Amino acid sequence: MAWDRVQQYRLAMEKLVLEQELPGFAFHDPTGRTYVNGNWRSNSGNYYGLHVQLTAGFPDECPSLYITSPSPLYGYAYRKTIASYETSHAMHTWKSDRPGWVKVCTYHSSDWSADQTLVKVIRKGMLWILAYECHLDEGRDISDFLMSVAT
Amino acid sequence: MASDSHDEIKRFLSQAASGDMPPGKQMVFNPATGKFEVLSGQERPGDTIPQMTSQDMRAFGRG
Repeated sequence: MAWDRVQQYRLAMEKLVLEQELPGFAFHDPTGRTYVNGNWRSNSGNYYGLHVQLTAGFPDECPSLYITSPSPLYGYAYRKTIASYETSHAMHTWKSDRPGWVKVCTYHSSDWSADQTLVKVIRKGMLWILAYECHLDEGRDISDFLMSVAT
Repeated sequence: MASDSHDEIKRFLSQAASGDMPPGKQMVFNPATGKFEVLSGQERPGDTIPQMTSQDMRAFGRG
């Protein structure tokens, strides 16, 4: 997509902050369908892939955050996949438009503003992963470990 | 003292999600380790904001 000058400036700033704060993440396709991805090793030592898809309205529109690996991502006791919950307040997820990926609810549209940053979106994804790993321990909802966000 | 253990993080998240923030504690992301930590007492995180130049924005422009 063609970013306008304001968006170009904003994305350049986001890139710098990302390199400083989360060096394992990088921008891709900067003049097309721009996205950020990277791998994160959780506090428990497990690796996860995260993908942030920007939309044409960024930063006025909230980007979408996906967990790309492991895929599929199983819930407690391997009973069902997290993606199968689709849009779920209990799991803080949206119905995914990317097969095999989990779409995480990071910000409700009413809570998003251009003041938020990609680093914050990714950190919220990491927090979701921490809560997911707590869910794996005993099967409690992921929302039991996150502050409430309406879905 | 900072802790990045799963159990400590889980206790913090569970209590915070219930609407009762753990007194005297905060959870931060440590860019140096790439992990979340629970801090207590007067410990402070050390985030910094990098400087940006006009050259940096060119990667997102066509041509």
